[in-house]
Amino acid sequence: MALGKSVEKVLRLVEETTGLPVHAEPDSNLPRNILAQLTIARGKMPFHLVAYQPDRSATPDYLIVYQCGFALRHYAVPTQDRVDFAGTELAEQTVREWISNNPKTPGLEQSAIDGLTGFLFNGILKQLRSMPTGLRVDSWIMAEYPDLASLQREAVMRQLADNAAGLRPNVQGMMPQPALVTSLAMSAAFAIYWAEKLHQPQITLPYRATGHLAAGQGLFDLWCGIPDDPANDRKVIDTWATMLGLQGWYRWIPSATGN
Amino acid sequence: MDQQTFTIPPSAFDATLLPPEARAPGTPAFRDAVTAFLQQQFLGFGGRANILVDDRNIAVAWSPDATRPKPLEVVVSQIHLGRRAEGIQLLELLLSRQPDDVDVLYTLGIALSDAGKLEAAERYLRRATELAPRFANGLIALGVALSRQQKNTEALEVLESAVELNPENPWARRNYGATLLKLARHEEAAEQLRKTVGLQPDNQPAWVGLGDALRLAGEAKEAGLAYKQAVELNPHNDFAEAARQASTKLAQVSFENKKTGELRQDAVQYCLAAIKEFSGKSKDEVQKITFEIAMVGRNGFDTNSAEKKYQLKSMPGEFSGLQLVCYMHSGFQSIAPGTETGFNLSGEYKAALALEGARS
Repeated sequence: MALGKSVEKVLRLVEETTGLPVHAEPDSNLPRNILAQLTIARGKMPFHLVAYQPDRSATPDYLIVYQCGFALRHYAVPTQDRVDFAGTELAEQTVREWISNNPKTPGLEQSAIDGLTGFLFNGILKQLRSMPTGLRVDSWIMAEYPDLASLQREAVMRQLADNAAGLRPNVQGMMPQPALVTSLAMSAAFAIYWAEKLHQPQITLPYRATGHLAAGQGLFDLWCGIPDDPANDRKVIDTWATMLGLQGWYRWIPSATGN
Repeated sequence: MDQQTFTIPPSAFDATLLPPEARAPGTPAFRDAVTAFLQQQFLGFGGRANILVDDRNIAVAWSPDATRPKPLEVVVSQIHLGRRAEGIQLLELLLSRQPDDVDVLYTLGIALSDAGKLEAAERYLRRATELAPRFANGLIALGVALSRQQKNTEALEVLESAVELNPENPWARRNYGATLLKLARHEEAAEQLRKTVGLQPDNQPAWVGLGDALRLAGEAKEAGLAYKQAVELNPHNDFAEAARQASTKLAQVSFENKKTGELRQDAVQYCLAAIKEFSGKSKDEVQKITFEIAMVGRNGFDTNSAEKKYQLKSMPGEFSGLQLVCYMHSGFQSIAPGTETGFNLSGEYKAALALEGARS
């Protein structure tokens, strides 16, 4: 598939900044709720890999540029300060307790508890790691690559729909309340950002109607209060984690790309 | 596609948003209050909302109202209705919210250009074309704004790009041709304007421009035909007036070219006939005839032909172009001496006066 000029420009930018090329390819094995995923070059992998949903976007330009934005922010930090985000046992243990003691789903089999634990703690950590930085990347795309605006809008609308699925009765009827509250607060912050950018206040209504808007507003205000500098990405995540009660759920380790 | 849907269980609804007496899920009061709350929320959003509240689900689907005009469309219609200043203010407001919206930048650029605020127009149109380099209409509007500032070389470059991008766009070709004309590249201008009228035969300004380009390139006969075509398309507007004036100029030049420094005896005779004709008429009658000739001559007189192809309501007979020009000149000298008619007939008129004086 031929890529647009903006994508080619960003791919060149990543290669110039990191010294390594980007390989982008459709990946039908990606989880349905993940539109695209970046694997930064490290070890024996001499390129960055952007995998994207083959069936969710006819033109993957925005998805590729979005993932490249993460790579550029990662490399914008001095080598010695680059860090990777890694979940801790505490995170897994806490989620396992939430599920085991969840009054909505008593008597779950151990295998179901194991599966749900992995799904939930990975999901929450992924949201924490990617959402605040992702909003920075989206702001950059809006400013620098307006030709991607319509693709960006489509992807955002899909993301908003996926996020709102967390409010569905079947999800609410099964998910532990602390996990629900944590995830929906971040989704609400995402909705607040896009309601403002797209001039569509109704985007936040699901969160207002379910009482999650205030928590989202708190996260959004924190995000706004920290200057947009890649060096601050870690600080924003830490601040959100504190507000969400997720301290100790992850640790920062020196990045393999910094060696 | 901005349709949004969400479904939540009644138990997840934030009861504090409801009146105290309606906070118990499963009750009719709860269902009514939730419905009323959601309806109230959507009142300010426009579009269409479907709200379904039952004991198991609260389901909401919202979609933008396709029939509701978008803000930009409203502004454009205001500008078309002559409310340009108001339209520009609204566009600037829209732009502050959507600084990289090419449509807003383009519309604002054109409105400012038409309002004579050319530097600002150029700034917005440059931004629009940076964001969308293949947007031919944006390039054309930028070219026009540059040309209006007499930045003709820059304008030409931009308009050439527009023509390359969209060779079948008559607006691009016409402005490209007009800019070539400003740069005195008459033959090239004529070529572009010929292509324009080929693409759009009823493009009146292009016919006028083609006439100008041909006239300046020395193709008087073809130029006359182009002006004639322009007037025939719509005789009652400014373009037709410009074509008439240019056509008259063409006739004057042709007339002058035929003079060799000596008096044209045919013109002297026509002036003498006019002086005789008018001497027996009142000032009002002379004025009526003279003005009618001037009106007939709005499309230009053919002074190169002796053919008597003109008729007047105020005076019987058939006349040649030169004959009427001489009558008009003599008439004006009679009712308002010293009036310039565009044709240098002062020598011929004086000679005719002398002849008439000697005879009487």
